[in-house]
Amino acid sequence: MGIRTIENRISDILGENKKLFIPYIMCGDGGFDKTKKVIQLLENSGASIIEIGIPFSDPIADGPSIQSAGQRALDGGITLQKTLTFLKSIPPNNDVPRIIMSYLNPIVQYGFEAFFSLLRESHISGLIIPDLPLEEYNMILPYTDQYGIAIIPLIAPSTGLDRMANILKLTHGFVYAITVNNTTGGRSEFSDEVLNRLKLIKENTTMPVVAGFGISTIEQIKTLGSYCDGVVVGSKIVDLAKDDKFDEIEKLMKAL
Amino acid sequence: MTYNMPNENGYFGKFGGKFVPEILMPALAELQENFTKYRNDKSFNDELNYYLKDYIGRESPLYFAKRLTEYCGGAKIYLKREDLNHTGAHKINNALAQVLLTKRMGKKKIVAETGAGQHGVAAATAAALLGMQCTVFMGEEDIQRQELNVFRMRLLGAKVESVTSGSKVLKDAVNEAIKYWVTNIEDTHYIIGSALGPHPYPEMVREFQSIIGKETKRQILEAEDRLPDIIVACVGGGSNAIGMFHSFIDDENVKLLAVEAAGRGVDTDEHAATLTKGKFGIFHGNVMYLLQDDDGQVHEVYSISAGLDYPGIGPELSYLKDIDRLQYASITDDEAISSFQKLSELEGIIPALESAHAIAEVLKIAPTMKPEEILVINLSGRGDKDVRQVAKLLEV
Repeated sequence: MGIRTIENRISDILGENKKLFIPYIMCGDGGFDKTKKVIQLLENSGASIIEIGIPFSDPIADGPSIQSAGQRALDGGITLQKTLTFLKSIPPNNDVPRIIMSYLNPIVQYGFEAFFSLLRESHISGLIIPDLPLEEYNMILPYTDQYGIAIIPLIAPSTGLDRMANILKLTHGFVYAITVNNTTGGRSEFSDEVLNRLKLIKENTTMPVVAGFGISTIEQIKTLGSYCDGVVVGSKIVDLAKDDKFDEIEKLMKAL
Repeated sequence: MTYNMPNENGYFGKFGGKFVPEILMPALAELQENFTKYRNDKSFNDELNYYLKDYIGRESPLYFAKRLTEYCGGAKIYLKREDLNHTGAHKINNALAQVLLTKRMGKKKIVAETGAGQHGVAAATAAALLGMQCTVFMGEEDIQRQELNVFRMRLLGAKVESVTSGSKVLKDAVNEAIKYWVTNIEDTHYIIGSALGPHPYPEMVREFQSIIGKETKRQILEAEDRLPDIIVACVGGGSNAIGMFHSFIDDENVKLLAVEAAGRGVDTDEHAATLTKGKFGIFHGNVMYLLQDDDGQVHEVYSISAGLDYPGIGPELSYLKDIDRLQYASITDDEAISSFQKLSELEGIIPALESAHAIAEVLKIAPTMKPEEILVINLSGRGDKDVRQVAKLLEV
């Protein structure tokens, strides 16, 4: 598990001229049995990588769908430690790497050393921390290096070119481009500006670029996917999983 | 040694910093640049000082509370009358300055969070004064207990958004204000009301509130020809406290005492006593002391006073606690209500419930002090907004 696992998986998929589809789920929403079922469904329906959220009380980068899912998980007693211990018990199938999305404070309370060591044991290959900007990355770099965990920072529409270059230097595996200045969640359409932005990011890196935030329909997945190397779909999957609409999740995943 | 915090990265020792989603980083850089440019700019300060004097009514008096002093029978007690500011609290000092800065930045819209409603009213007022659009996020619970301030904000032309996520109080209002800012980053400035958040907010809010301490220092030297022995202020996030304390940090003989909300008691689950019970954490964009569980989830906190109902404390006060420069105490709801009545009866001044926490602590410590000793309380706001709530509790 780790950086190499993500890189291999991505080059296999892109090598077959396919696009990357990265679904996001909130761990523990509806209980761990449900999460296990959803993970297996995603692994068997062609997910490129699975992004797994750890719930946090105050998720300032998330819109209503993911915030509510996190609150349901917390109300069900889910913690960071329980999440990772659960993930340890269900090793990945079909070579689908897993990455964790967690806000910083639960990680800080758990302790960096203990957290990264547990990540490794729990078959986790990469990490997204939405409230950790470039300037503060030094606090985790010794641990990501030691444990070989991929760092996937977010690039925003408002990120300038110089700053983007510095973020890209830190990035492993793939570039996560936020489509619009917003929190996570559905919205209706993407302008030319968004598409041009994706092209610009592509021109500035040799790594694959994946678009995320606000992507919820098959049409959007197809449009955005044609301008970059794939998509992350979060809030929509979280909502469908909540309502047990597994067929619709599979349909979304076949869009690319 | 001269106190000179924060460092260029916004750190006060190990507290502070900048922990926000990438989307906000360019806006924070823009804010930093403008704050640095204008904080010492003559035309900006002339404009600010004009409004501070002619609009807010500064300087605010430092009033010798004779009857309160006699009642306590110890130290001489002075009240710094921030309650006499336009809009009724210290919050306007920061809100007005930030709206003036927003104007210089060429933005026309502001967003703010509010707990008790005082910062929301201050932001709405400054926005009205300077012709800006103002949106205020306020927890659903707080909207119910501070309905008068909600009406005031609406009268002033602000849009008040009810926050129904999380515990529906101040911390949730901050979350939603940040999210709104994320979505409206191009044309909107976020005016945070307390001395916390990502750099440069803690430094900037302190700068704009430090006029409280600067005036107090001048006034007490004029009245007593010496500095006070102790200065007392209530703390939620900490803006009135750091505004009062900052000018005195290098005066080591002046004790700085922060009074936080013990709610129904610090040994219950219903309090907001961050200095007493908080642990090192990262929240709302900065490293601070934070009330949280072992999993790093942020606590729902409680106080009768909506303005103290916040689970964190700003990075500078966190640092001052860490280096033992700051002392702290906590006051329960009952003690606060009792002092709310006491100050009204003794001095004809109805304090805000927030400030009543500081008064309550003084009722405990002043009697133990000598008559030649001097104590200053930052009376951060007036209690008009709280009268209905207290009347209900006292079944008047």
